[in-house]
This record gives sequence, C-alpha cells and structure tokens, in this order.
Amino acid sequence: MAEHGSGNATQLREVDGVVQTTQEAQEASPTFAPAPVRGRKGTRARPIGSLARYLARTFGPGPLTLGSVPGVAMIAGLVSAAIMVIRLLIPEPVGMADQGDGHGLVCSLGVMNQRPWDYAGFTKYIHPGWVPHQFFGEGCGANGTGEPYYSSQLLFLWLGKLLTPLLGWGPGLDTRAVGIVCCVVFGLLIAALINVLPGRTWFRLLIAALVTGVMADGVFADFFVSPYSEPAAFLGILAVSVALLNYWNGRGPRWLALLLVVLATAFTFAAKTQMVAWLPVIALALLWQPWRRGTTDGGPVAVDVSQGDAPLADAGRRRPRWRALVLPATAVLLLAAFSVAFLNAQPKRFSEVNLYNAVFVELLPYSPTPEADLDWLGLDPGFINAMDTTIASPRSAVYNPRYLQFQEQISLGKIVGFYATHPERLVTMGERGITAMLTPELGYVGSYLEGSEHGPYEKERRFPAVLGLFSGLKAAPVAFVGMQLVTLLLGLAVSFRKRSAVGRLAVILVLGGWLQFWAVMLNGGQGEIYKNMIIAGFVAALCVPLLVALISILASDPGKALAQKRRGRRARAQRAVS
Amino acid sequence: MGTANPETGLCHAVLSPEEYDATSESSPSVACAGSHTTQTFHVTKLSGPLASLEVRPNQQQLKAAGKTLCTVEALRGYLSASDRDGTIGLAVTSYFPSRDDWAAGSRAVRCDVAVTDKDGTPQETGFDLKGALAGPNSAAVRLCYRQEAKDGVLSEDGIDVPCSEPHTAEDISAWIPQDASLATPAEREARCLPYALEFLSIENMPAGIVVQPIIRTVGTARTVRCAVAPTEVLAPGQSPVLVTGSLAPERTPKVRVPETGGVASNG
Repeated sequence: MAEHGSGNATQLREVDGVVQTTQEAQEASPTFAPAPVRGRKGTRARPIGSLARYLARTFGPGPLTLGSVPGVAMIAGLVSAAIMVIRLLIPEPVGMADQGDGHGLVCSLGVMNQRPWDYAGFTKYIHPGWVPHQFFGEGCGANGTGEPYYSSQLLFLWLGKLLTPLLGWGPGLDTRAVGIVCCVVFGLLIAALINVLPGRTWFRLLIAALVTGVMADGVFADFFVSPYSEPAAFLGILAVSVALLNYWNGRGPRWLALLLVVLATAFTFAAKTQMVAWLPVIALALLWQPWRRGTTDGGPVAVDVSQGDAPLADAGRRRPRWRALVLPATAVLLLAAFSVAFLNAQPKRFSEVNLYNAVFVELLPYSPTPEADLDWLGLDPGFINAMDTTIASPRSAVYNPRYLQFQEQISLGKIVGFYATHPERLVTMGERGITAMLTPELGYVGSYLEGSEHGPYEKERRFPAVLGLFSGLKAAPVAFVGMQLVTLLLGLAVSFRKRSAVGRLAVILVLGGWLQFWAVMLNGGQGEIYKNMIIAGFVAALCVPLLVALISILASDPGKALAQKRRGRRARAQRAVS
Repeated sequence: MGTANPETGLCHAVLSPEEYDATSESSPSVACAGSHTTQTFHVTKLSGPLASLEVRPNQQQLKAAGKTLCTVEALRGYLSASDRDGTIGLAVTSYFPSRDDWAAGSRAVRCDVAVTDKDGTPQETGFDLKGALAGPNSAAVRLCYRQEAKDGVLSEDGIDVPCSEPHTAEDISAWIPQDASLATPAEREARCLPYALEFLSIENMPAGIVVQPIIRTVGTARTVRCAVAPTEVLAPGQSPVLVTGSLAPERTPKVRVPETGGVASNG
C-alpha cells in the first residue's frame, strides 16, 4: 500500500517499474489519482528539491504574524554576542589598526595610545592599549587643529574605558574592551530584531543569523576593536532598522515607537557626519505610516492611521489625516535640527580636508579638462599644480599664495552645482565609488597585534563571507547594483502586496545606502575612499539577509493560509448553526 | 600655559605625535633637567600675508612658515655650535598661537628642538640643550660615523650615529663635493686638514688623532665628509676599535670608553 506524503511533497508513482509524477500518471490514467510514494526502493529521489522543501517548511516565514519571542530572542542575542566576542578575541585579538584618525576621538577620554611614533610603524599592527594622559590645548581633537570631535562612538569608548580595568588591561582604555561592549550591543540588537521580525521563529532566527554573518566578516567586525567611529554607524543602522520595524509593526504606544526611532537615528547620525545623508529616507520612513495592529500578515485591511489606538467603537469618527502626521513630522524636524547642530559642531578642519579632496583628489584628476573645471569653480589656473595631492602633500594647494581663494570659493554646494551641470562626470565617479565599495578590506592597516606571528599589514580573513561576495561581484559590478535594485523592488512588492515592514525596511536601507554613497563621493571622493565607503558597503551587504527575507515572504502565501483559516472558521460556524 | 607669549629656554613634555604636530602647544613647561621632549630655542614673530589673516591659517600653511622662521642658524646659536660642530638626532618643530590668541592679535612663533632617535622619534631626555655643544655632554648630539673594516681597511663610508654610540670617526662639519682633486685618500686628508685643526683648536695634528674623511654617495653625487679619528681605531690586521664620546676640545667627556679592544682616550 502506498504511503501518503505531506501535501507539499512531490507525488510519485511507480508503474511497472517506471516512475511517474502524479500529473503524468493522471494523464495516463485519468480515472485514478494515485497516492504519493516517497523514499521507497526504485523511486527517483530528488535530494535538492527535498532539501529545499525541508528548508522552506522549516525556515519559511509562514503567516507574517507579529509578536515577541523573548526567550528565543534572548538566547539568540547571547549566541550572536558570544560568536562576535570569540571571533574577535580568540585565539588572539584581531582589530583594525589606526591610520591616524583614532587619536582625535579617543583622546577626549583622557588617554593616549601606546604605539610607535611614525605612521608606518603604527599602521602595521593594532595597538589596543591607551594609557591615561592629560592633554592641553590643541593636543587633543581633530588632527592639526585640536577642534573637538564628537561621535556617538564615544559612548562605546566610555563604556570600554569602564570595562578595561575590570578585565585587567590597565587603568586606561583598551579597544578590546570596546570590542566586547560592541559585541554585547550587537547581541541586544539581534535579540530585538528577532522580536520585531514577522513570521515563524525559525524564519526570524535565519534572518538574524544572516545579519550576524554579515557583521562577523572581518571587514566590518574588526572595526569593533579599533579607535574608529564606524562601529557606532554599523550598530546604529541595525538599531534604526529594529526601531523602524517596531514602528511600522504598529504594536505598542505609537509615541514610544517614534521615540525609539528618533533616538536610534540620532545616535546613528552622530556616529559620523556622512550618516546625516540618511535624513531624507528617515523622514520618508517616519512619514510612511504604520499599519494598524493585526493587518501586517497579508490581510486585506489597510492601515487607517487616523484611528491610532482608538477603540474600534470610535472607528466611525475619522480624524483628519494630517493629525496622524503631526508626531512623525515633529520627529523629522527634531532630527533635522539635530543634524544641523551636529554638523556645525564638527571640526571645521574636516570640512576643509573633505572639500580639498573633492577638488584636488577627485574632481580635477579625473577630469578631461581640469583647466576648464578650475575656471568653472572660479579658481586660479595655478591650482592645476596641486592636482592629485592631499592637503598634507608637499605640492599641496595650501602653499599656493592664492589658497584663500579656494577657501572662499569652494563649498559643498558648489561641488554639487558642478556635478549638476556636468552630470556625465557622475557616471565614472559612480564606477569608482562602486569599485571602492567592492574593496572593503583596508589593506593599509593591519589586523593583528605587534609581536604576534602575523606580518605587518596582514589582514584577518577567518570569515570572509562579505569579502568573498564583494570580491566576486568585482568581476561584474553591475550585478552589485542589480542586487540592490532587486532588493529595492522586492521591498516595494513586499511592502504593498504583503504589507510587511520588512519590505519597507529594504526600501529604506537601499535608498539610504545610495544617498550615503553619493554623499561620500561628492564630499571627499577618492580621499580615503575605501574607509569612507565601508558603511555604505555594510548597508549593501545587508541586502543579502534582506533578499532572503523578501523572497521568502513573497514565496510564502500567508494570505491563502489566512483565507483557509477563515473558511474553516466559517464552516465550523455554519456547522454549529445547523 | 598661554601660546601668545612663548619663552626661549623652556622645556616641554610633548609625548604624542599629535601633540608634537599640533599647530599650537600649551602644555605647562617642565624643568629641563627633568624628563622632557622639546626645548624652545627661539621665539620670533610671524609676518607677511599669513600674519595679516584674521582667521588663523591652517596647520600646513603655518608649519611651512615655521620651517623658514625656525632656522638652523638660530638653533646652532642656541646650542653654542661652532662652524666645525656637526650634529645628529635633532628635530625642529614650530608652534603658533591658539585660535583665540591669534584672534586676539598674537603672531608669536615658538621654535622647539627635540632629541630624536634614528627614526626621527623625539626621545624623553633630561639633557638641557642650551649651550650643549660647548658642554661636556655634547656627544649625544654630535655626528659620528661607524665604518666597517674589510681586509684591514675601513670602508669609505659609514653609518651615521651619535658620538655617544660606538663609532670610528667624528664629523667636523666640512662637507666637500668630491671632484678630481680629491681622488686619493692623501688628497682628501690634505683638504680636510685645516678643518680638523680648526675643530681641534690647535695648529698641528696631535699624536693619536688622524684626519679620516669618509665619502657619502647620494645618487651620483659623492661628497667628502671631513672627519677625525683616534689612530688606534684600525690597527693593522684587527677589527676596528669602536670608541664613544667626542674629540672636540674642552667639550668631551674626560674618559672615553671603547666598545672593543683597547682604550682610546683623549680629551
């Protein structure tokens, strides 16, 4: 007697030793629909198909139900944090060596790095130890000016400083302790992510595991053990993602969800100035109204935000739509004001260096007509001699007697205006940016401690998932853009067809990454482009877990399941009535 | 400490490269006999177009101006260097008024000197550099050469070392482009002899000291660097005897300790 497989299994039938699918059998014998045969001798097994179906059954999202799974989330968060700590500190510490930017940020905590004096000496290896030191005047701050340098990374650094003596690493600050702090925060965010994702638990765990896989790649994770501000940006982006999912899910008090988004966004913006480029998409995200509770599972009811959390009895009394936008709009204005204040508080030196790079490292060297470009910018032709130099080069334009003209004439607005009138230049600029993004490994700084068995500038590649993917995509950069475009389109599809916040998140992350990409290219360009592109690269790498989530959601059919449930309920109700 | 009115002769503990390269430096001064890294050897005033700017120019502009204002001549004067004193391991940096002091009108330029290691890294020292080359501890900043010996003959060139480290010859700050007239050792020694006598402040070469020029080749340019050495530095058939200290009269340590072989002594 034939066994009955599950409904999703391929139905096979053996007829005179010949295996037929159900459909073939039906065509051959229209009077009999055979029972499936599976795993029996003589049948043709389809291991890949079976595996795919098994994975789909196990990790598929199912109905996009919401709700926290605190126990599972806590365990997953702990595991994620532990994985990150282990990969950073065992069997030996790995991190990202300082290329000179670290001091400006970390010195404000009253510590000085114990490292070789010369640039080549301290970039070869990581030097995690910072000892207490009192700085005076311009000795601390942005290199060259001593202007205070603010970043939300200071919070992690401060916590790391508290933790350092407890771990026996001396009285100052050890960036390994900062790495542990970052890993703990990452674990908390993974736990929160699992709680706000829709669908079955295994599906949530799968997405969280993929996010952990992205973060664990050395090109990103090594920043945790470093004096850089990038970890605040990485973790900030994850925090904003979690907060937005929570906001769109429409669960809990709306003001609280909004407040979490605002706090996470402010933290992220304050990580690095380039993060402020996200303001337009965060505004879009905030004004993209949450669904009403219980409608994010593919159900047919759209959100009526004017109802807010009002009882259903009040549903008939619709409030004006604009009132629902008051809180999000206020949040947007607050974030805009914060962005302006943050940008104004940043060292003027950074602006000067970025504008210098935008002109002399990016605009002129890649121009077919640099003389004409100088003329368009209103600069003296003599500046052509400084083409392809940095501000610290011996041929730097700062030694030109007319350098004041550069300072007066050039602004970010003027750079944007130049490219607006020379749009053809954006094509090659974009190509260079993508190439830089696909080169996320900073080969000019080492990963290991001095005195370890590793050579100078040697990079740690124990989990090169993203590095491998990006290196592969270098052969066809269009595929890299395509990956993001597909993520965007699938995000829109999931947003509007499945009413899932994951789709919205995909849209926001892709658009935010693109804005950040162009902000970096226009405000500095080639000047240290590989490091400046690392955050945009991180966002692009998040497309992988997003794509898995989006495809899974689209491939599943929770609407049908819901309809079946409803039909079942109706049938039971009818039976009860009869 | 303010940056508007720096003073010559003060010492500072500038411990990080960022502090060392900063546009202004305002740490409190420390005793020069105590541990410090830099010492102010000259104070001057910025003039010209940069000085007329209301907003302080950037670091690169000011440091470039500092290179022209903090001159070698000013440093040699502070060190009490004679024309025949060659130096090594000294780095000069300049500091300017803070942004606030600049806005208040100060244009003072502070020129600091630091004793460095062979890589150029400023070293913490308790050495007061004021008049150092006239004093008894000048070997630490005097230029000497360590030559290799092959078949009992010292190499033409040698590596630069401070005279406080083992060496074979001491520079006397007379560098002459080599031409046909300096082809043989005898010609080079004869050319350097007047400088050696001036260095030693005597009229005839004393017993136990010889003129021992070295030849430094940079690219295609060959330069004869006049130097002096104790005669026992290279005994025939033996490895060179390395000595420490300086041969400069009335400036050298009383006792000079050779690194290998016998004692080379000379005031």
